[in-house]
Amino acid sequence: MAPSTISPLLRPVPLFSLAAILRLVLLFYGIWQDAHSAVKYTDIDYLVFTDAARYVSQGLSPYHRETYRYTPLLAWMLVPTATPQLFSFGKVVFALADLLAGWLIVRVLTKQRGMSVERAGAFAAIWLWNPMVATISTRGSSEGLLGVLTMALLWAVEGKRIGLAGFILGLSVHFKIYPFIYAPAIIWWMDDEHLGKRASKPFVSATDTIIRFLSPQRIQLTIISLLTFMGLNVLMYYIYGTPFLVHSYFHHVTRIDHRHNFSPYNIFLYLASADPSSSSLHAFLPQLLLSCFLIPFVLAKKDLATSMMAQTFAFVTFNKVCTSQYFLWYMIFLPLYLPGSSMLRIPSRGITALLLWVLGQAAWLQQGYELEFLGVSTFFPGMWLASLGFFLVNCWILGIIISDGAEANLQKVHTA
Amino acid sequence: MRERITYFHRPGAAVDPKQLEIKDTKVQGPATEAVREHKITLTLPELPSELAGLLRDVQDLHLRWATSAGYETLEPFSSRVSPGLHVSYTPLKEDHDPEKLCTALQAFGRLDCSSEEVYIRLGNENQKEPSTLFFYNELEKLDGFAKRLGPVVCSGPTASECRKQLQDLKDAASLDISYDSTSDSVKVQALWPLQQREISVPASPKGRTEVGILGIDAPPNMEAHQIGASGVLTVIGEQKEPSPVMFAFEARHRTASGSFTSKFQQPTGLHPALQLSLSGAAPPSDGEAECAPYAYFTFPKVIFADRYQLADELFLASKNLTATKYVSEPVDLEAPAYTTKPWGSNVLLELAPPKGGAAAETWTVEVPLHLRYLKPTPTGKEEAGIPYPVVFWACDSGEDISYAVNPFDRVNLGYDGLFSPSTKFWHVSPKSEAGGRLINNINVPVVTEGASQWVGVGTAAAVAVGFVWVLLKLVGGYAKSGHSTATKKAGDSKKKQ
Repeated sequence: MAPSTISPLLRPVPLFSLAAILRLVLLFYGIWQDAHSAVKYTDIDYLVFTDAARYVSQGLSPYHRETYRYTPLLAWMLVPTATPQLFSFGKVVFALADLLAGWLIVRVLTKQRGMSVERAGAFAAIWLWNPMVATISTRGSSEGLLGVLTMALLWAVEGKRIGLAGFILGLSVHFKIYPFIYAPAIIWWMDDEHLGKRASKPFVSATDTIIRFLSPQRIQLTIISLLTFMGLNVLMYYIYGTPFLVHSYFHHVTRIDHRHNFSPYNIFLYLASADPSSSSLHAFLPQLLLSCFLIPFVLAKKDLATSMMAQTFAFVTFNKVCTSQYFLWYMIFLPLYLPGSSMLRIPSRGITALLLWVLGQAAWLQQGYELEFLGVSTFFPGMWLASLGFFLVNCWILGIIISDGAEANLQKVHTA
Repeated sequence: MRERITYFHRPGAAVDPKQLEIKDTKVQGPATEAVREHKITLTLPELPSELAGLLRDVQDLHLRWATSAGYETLEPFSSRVSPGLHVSYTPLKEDHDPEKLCTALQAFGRLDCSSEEVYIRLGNENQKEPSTLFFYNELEKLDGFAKRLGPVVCSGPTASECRKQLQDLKDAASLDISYDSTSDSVKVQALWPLQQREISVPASPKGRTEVGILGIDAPPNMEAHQIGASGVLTVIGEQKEPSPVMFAFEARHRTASGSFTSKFQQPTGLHPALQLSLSGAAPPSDGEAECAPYAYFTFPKVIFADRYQLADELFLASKNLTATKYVSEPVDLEAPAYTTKPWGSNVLLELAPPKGGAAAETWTVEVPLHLRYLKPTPTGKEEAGIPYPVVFWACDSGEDISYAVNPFDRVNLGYDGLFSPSTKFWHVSPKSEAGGRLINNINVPVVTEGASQWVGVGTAAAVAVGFVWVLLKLVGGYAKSGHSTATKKAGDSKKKQ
């Protein structure tokens, strides 16, 4: 698919070198801009992380820093940034995480999907050479870490490294909660066939089905992931007490999300927050139904990667709060989803999807600009309609991803 | 009860003592351009018992109010606070209920002060002692206060004269009420701005009334950097003739040259920048002392400064700011105004004057701020008023200066507590923009009230459509190929690895 002129660049060495150079250039550019301009390249969140890391390095709790709403692991990891000369250490870690995620993508595509190295490189480049991904990590946003964690999770599961998969699952849920949606998909996927065991007899009774469902591997994954998750939580609670629970977890349940963002619920939640009698917890229902049960049920066994992509997409689309950093959560799966997708097979569909996705955001951003910078009250109807429009576009795209995922094996049959 | 009324006139506008009419019940004199200060000192038993009971529960209580109208003043009445009512007090016990005090404060108007969470605690690291609590409320006029206070404090044959005096508060520029348990007395101080006014002081019905008619002068024994004053003093009913006086003192608050205006840069958006323009504000020549310009802000909770944003030196320098010296705590950086409990916040910023100190030059500083979300309104807009800051040069010579000797000294203004006691404040006069008020209005965009009838239904409908669409795709996919791997062949192809 790649024109012959760039295909030599898609070999691993140039692929990763270019990705690394892109990030190095951005990193140094950022250092330069921060030193010379009042407008900072570095993300506000990075200052939150590094302030928290400084507290940790002084033996204090990272929750001393207002708006630090992450696991202490992140602050621990960034302790070197407490030394002024190593301020950019965290950005280097995030950039390396990007590269590692890219390497995992190539591994999954070549070893587990039997794709040629150049073709795998071309798809991995969607992540590795993506300016949005490179910018987000070099500005110091930690979302890239989620990319490497979820890709490592998929790689471990498909490589049948059950213990490792359980550990990564527990760790990622501790890190950012949302990866718990992958647990049902993975459990569902882990049948005899996918684990390379010969399916013995067809199922007869319901008890038989249940007993066979509770395979040692599924139990192993469940126990290891729960132990990792709870172990980390207990450890952090032991060290930092209630602030850890409040800021890392409870905050996400009790937050009122009144500030404007892409979520279709946004204006509704703003109105609701101003009226103390209302409750908006039912907004979790469609989101969890789709991302935790229905999508994995239909897709996981056919194509785990596409299922995870669709689940993440549904989770982000139906979430009560949605900002562009969340898009990174599903973009990591694009290189795995696209090769067999109808968006690539029928280019007009892919281009339409991309255009609508960009236009939907642009329409919303225009309303957001008028509100945020010009002070025009665009909440209603402009921004509200824009967020609903973007939501419907996303649902349409999600429909395509689901159809592709459901037909994934049929496709493989035809092309085999 | 003691009363002291001082007329402080412009240099050269002195009143001829012969023109003063001194009677047993009042002092009368010709009109002159002067500032008027009225100070009343009361002991606790002289107060209504409820108020006295309230004060017995606190270590100290300080009310500072300033008008939102621009006004002119003279040294030594140079000090300023932001327009509105500033209340600070230290309870005797840690577990106290602000409800009682708040009820009494309702005399000023409807103030939101009954919950302890409204107050911010002022820097007292010592946990054993109760910390000082502070809160601010917008209050443009004292009309209501004067009206409500009348029936409480005015009684007997002098009631009508008392009410008339209270009515004068309508025109006051500032009002201070201070109580300190160590002195066991309450001091009430009101100031009227510089303008043409007749000298007219009735005798206090219950105590001593001292009248002073003074102006700036230079006594021969005066030291550099002191303020000198001369004029006449008299005590009603005790003296028939005014006694001439001449004295000098060190003043904590001085008037600096120049003036400043404050306005929001347009368009304001959700992250407005407050622009302070200083013109002719030259650094004061205060001997050996080092001076730097500052702005002290009182932000109601609708607006706030982000302490983290204001920490970067390059960023500050680009706004002509030098440093963020103080931001009160807590300041939530995300919450909407309607879930934010504290009244708001105080911020002290050090400003960066132009290099070389060109006096006549106009220079501006910019203060980046953020608006909170407000409740829906019918128009989609909500207007908020942000009081002018206090702008001054703070000069600290490090020497021990006894400012308290100054009979017109003023403390507990918020910012003075953030500097060493020997600091001298040179105030830059605020100049109002159009409208004559020292308040910056800002329009906050909010969601229109009418939206709620559409948003609930519309959002539910859109989410339902999206959900059903995705569901149909899932059902379609399931119908075509079930929930498991479609064919054995596909499974085989997977195992080629």
